[in-house]
Amino acid sequence: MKGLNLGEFEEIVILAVAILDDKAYGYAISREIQHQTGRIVSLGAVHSALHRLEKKGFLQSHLAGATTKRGGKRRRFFLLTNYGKKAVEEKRRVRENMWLSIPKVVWAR
Amino acid sequence: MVNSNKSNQPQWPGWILKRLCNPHYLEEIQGDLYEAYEDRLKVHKPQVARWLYFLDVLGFLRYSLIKSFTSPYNFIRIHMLYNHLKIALRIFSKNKLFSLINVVGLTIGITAYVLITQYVKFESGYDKYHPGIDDLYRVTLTWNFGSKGFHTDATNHPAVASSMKADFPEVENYARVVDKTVMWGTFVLSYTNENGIVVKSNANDNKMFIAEGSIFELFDIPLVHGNPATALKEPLSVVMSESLARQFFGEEDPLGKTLMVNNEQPVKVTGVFKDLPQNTHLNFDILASFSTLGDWTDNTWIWPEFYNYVRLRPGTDPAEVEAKFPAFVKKYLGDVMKEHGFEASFGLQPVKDIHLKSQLNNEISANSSDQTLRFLMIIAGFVIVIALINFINLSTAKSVERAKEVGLRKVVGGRRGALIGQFLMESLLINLISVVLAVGLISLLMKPFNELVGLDVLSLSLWLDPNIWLTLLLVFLAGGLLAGIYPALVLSGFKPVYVLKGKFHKTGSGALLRRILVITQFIVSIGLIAGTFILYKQFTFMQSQELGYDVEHSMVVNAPIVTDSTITSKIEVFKNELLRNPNINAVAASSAIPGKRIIWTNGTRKLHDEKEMSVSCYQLTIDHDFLPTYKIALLAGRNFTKADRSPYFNPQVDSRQSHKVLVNRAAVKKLGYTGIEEVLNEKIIFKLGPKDRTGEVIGVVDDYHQQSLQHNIDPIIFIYPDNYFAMYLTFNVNTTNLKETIEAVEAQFNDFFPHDPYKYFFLDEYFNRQYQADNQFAKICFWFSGLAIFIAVLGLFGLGSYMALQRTKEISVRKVLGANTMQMLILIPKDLLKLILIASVIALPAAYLVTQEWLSGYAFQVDLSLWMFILPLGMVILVAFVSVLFQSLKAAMVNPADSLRNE
Repeated sequence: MKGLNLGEFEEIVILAVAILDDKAYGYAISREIQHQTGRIVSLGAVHSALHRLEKKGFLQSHLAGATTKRGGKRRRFFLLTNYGKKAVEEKRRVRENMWLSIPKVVWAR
Repeated sequence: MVNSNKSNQPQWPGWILKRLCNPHYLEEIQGDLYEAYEDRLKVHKPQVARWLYFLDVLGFLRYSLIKSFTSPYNFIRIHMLYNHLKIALRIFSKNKLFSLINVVGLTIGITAYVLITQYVKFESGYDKYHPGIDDLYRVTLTWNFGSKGFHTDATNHPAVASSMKADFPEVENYARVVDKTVMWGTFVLSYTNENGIVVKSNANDNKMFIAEGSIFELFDIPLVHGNPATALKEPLSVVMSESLARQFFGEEDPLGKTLMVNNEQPVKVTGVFKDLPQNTHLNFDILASFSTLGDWTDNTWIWPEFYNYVRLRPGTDPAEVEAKFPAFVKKYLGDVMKEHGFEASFGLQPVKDIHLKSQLNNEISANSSDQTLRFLMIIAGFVIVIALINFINLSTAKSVERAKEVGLRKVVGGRRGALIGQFLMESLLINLISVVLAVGLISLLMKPFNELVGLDVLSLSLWLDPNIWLTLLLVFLAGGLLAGIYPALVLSGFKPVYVLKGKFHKTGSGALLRRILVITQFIVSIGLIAGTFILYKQFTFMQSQELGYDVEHSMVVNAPIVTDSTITSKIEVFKNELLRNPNINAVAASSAIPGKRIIWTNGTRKLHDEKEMSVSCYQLTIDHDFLPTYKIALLAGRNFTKADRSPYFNPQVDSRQSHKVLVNRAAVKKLGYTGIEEVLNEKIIFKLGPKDRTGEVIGVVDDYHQQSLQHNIDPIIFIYPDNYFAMYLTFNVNTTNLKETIEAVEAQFNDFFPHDPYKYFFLDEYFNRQYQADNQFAKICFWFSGLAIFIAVLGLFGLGSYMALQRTKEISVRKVLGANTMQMLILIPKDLLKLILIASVIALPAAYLVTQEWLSGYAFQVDLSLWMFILPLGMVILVAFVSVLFQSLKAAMVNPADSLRNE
């Protein structure tokens, strides 16, 4: 299933969206990623990833109501779709399976 | 609160974002950026935050976030562009003739423009490639003879540069260069290779200088073999060009090889340099070491034949150094000047200006003038302007035809902007096609053009130069926009209400502008034709004038150089031997021949005049056969006889001893005698080298043109020394059986002088070589003026055909009312005639002034007469009439019934 394929960065973005629950918008997500991983990501990269993920159906978004903050510009909040949830879970399952398949001796060496 | 912070935020990155970002995402992105910016303000300085903000904006310029070209927002614009393109192509194919005229005109215009600008660039690029050229100067020498005038030499005394280095801290380095003739009069270089075969080279063909090794530091002359620091150190070492080395040594290593000068003096090859590029004034094939001359050069102040180059410390103002010259000249030349009665002054001449701005005595090579280049640039500008005018004229002329189209477009919602875009597109497209064609045409014309100008100006590597593409891009845009904008504005401004009701016919202002443009074209055409015509007249005048001697029958052979004490009698026998040949009428020996500037010139005066009264006269060494051989007339007195030979060059001879001399008429006048009879048996004093000599005038020779007619006839003193002096042997030959005569002379020559190369030429060819540059310039002018006129004619043809079309109905009505075909035939030419006459009022006086100015540079000028201006005018009228004749004929022959029926 091609659609379920997630890039590394995409996965991190999806996880950040999940962490922020209903307060996930571009700038917050980029800060969360910076906070969690310690790496500095450009806002442009995050936005680009978010819209790509939305196009693929992993995320859905809506513009919040008008605000007086942020120079009067509205935020776009992102939420995980079920499909998105399935995609990250699948990713995690694959990964854990692989972890479990590693012989103990590897670590003992 | 919100807005107060916003003003801190840099505006222009946001503007970029707004322009490029997909509007779907714009708002949220702006918000996020705003938040990020505010957060950063808490930890960073505002400048840093602003910088980071900008970087963030750049981060958004990625494919997924920017506006898509196919998004609905751009969709219309792109498709309008396609549509404009399509319409433009349809218009072109509908108006094949107009499009062809425009494209051909512009293509030729652009080609001519590029060719000329490349030529001008080449010419003005002389010597610019030497690193540090801005600080490189040549020290010139000006002779001031008080009331007798002054002249400036490119050469100076040998000790100048070395003394400047010693006296002036501003002088960083210097190099002295002198023609080989100071060492070896004329000379032959030969090499005997392993197989015993002798390779000879006549250094008259190869340019050779004696130069200091620092020449490699001052000028960019890369050595392929040898060490630049030491190559010219030892006496009798030579450095030669790669191609000459190949000529002598083939594929062998040239370093250390020994060549013979005049078969007696060995010189060693110590270096080989890459062949010099054409664009340097200091062009040579061989350099010999300066130390060959000996060690007198650093304190010799009486030999002004050396080129002194100095490099000043970077950034030095040359005026500062020049200000010190008067004291410097006094210090070193004071005594000499007092003794010889002249004033000298020095000047610094930037080396980079030599090729275009320097016309001094003793130039190393013939220089161009920036006047010539300016003239060519004007032609280049004219050519392209004429082509653009064609486009404007033809486009606006067709406005009536396009008016309905414009009206309809506006009715269905076309905005003016879109219409302007449409018309600009047409203009740009025409220009683009022309540029592309011009690139092809230029590539094809490279070789012929190089031949035309006699230089390797163009090669295919031109296309590797980004500048040329930039130029073409500029020409394309400027041409496209300049020519396009006016028609676009006019055409797009039509009011649909009038146009579609049929009330619109002609815009008065458009017609006026068209007239002005056509007049401009005529001004340029008439001016160019008149200018080129007078140029041609002057050149043919110069080349058809009687020179004052027999030029057709003179064959010249380089005199033998490898000589011994028997040479004088040997020459005598050689001459007599050849005179037995029935085809050889006379043989003469001389130090110079017509067509060559006489090198020796020195102060001359009447016996009892003061030293200060000296005038400068040329000195020509001849034998008693010179005048009969050249058939130069003797006005008074008698010719030399063998008995008149005199020991001029013997330093022991007292300066009061008199020698027999001849003078020419110009010298009689210059010396201050009133008539030619008066001068006979008079005594004059002239300088020969450092010595004074007394001459007794035994005859007066008629003036003849020693040099081209650009130069005046200079005063000449003819002397006949008793030692060997010949540089040339001139044969007066019959033009029949020329081949046998040449062979006979060669056989004798090789028999008598086996160590010298035999080289002959005919004097008429040699003399006419002086006109080479002029002829080349004339040819260039001729071709490019011709092109300009051709383009103008093209435009006229198009415009004429359009005028005829427009006036068909008028003509029909006139015919119905009783006008005959003949009257109608001249209707359109009559219009043109008015324009041409207005143009000639401006063009002819301008042409007169410009050509007058140009002619003042020539000593002998063709007389400007009225017909030289009437003729070009007549030509333009004729060409204009012919170009519209066919169209007016068609219009005049029209059957009114046909053309009026469709109303």
